[in-house]
Amino acid sequence: MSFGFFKVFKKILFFLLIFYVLVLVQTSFFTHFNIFGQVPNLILIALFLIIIFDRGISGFFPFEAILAGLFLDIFSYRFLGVSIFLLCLASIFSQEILKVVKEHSFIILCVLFIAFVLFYESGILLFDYFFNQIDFSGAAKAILIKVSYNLFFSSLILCLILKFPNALEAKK
Amino acid sequence: MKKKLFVLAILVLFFVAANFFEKEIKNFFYSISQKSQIALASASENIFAFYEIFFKAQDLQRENQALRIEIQGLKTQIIGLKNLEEENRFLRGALALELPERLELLFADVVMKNIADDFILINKGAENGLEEDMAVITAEKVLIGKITTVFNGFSQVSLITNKEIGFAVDIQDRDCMAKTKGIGNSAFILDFIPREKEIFAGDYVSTAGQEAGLPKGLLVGEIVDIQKSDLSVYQQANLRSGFQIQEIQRVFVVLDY
Repeated sequence: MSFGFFKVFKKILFFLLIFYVLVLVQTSFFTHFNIFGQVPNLILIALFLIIIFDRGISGFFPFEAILAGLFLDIFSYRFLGVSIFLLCLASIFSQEILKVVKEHSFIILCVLFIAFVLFYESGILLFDYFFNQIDFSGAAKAILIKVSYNLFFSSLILCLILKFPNALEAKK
Repeated sequence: MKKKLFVLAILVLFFVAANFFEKEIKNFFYSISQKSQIALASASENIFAFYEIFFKAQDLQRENQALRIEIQGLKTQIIGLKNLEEENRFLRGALALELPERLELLFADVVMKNIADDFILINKGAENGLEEDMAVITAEKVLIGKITTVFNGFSQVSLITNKEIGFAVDIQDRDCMAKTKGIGNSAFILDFIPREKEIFAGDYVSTAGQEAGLPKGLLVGEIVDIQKSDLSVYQQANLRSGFQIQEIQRVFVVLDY
């Protein structure tokens, strides 16, 4: 039991470090490499890849989504819990979809990723509308750019990872 | 699935409670991340500058030439303005009027830039005497934004392009007031310009000093183009801000004026 606990603790620390480094890179390094003000959401990409290819901290609940969402909330102007809630929901839905869809080809994973990002960004938009009185003007363009920019990075990584099909077999 | 949603509901309650300590939690992470973020931003700037040298050499040359011509014109203007300033000082003295107060400023470093959400984080906060709604400017007195959230050692500054920010401005030499409106993604517009007023692309816009924390006369930006509609009593204009957010590393907070 203690070995299992140590393993889980090690995984939590690992994901904490990964997401922390990614949020720093996202909010500091990519500032100059923005497209119409949008930067890639590296945490979102990392979380999606973890859901697909790794068992995560626990197979039961996507606890890694909590860590991912926590850092996104800390380094944003929103209060704690917004990104956590949205990413947990998105992760749960993605896991359920992956159980149903047996074939995990590149196209299917890209489509799932687009849905993942759209779900999260739409949730953020709705939150801003209701809590910060921010309207929807320019939202469609912003979301399109965000999805495209994130898809560019995630599809590159998906291409590389899908060269190793054993990774998917281990997950199943 | 039901179990997962139940765990999610418990987590939501937990984090709603955690928001009582939101400022302390955020302040802690900002303080440990500060040096790393500044280093990463500096690395990003160096890489981008390297890219610009190779791919934008011709554009840079053209921009350089245009700026040289503009500087010459501005130097001439400065001479004229200095004469006016002397005359103004003399007349105020003669009429026993007080000189306008200088701005009381506090210097701060930019720790984080969130361009997508139009805000930056600076490394001064409540312990330095900062409060919400204080203006933040560059060294050249160009308005960047205003403080919207104050932590113990840091402050969140919403940029003038932020959707929540709008303030009254004067359009120079047009005897006209209007209001800015941030539309996000580093863009903002000028609204409520009376339809009968003639304004032109290239006109400069400065703060009117009507809101608390915003002194009069801070440069806001330049009019890029104008939209007139027969159906509206007002016209709108697109603005270009007087600063490039990617280039800003240090700012000043207006403590008093």
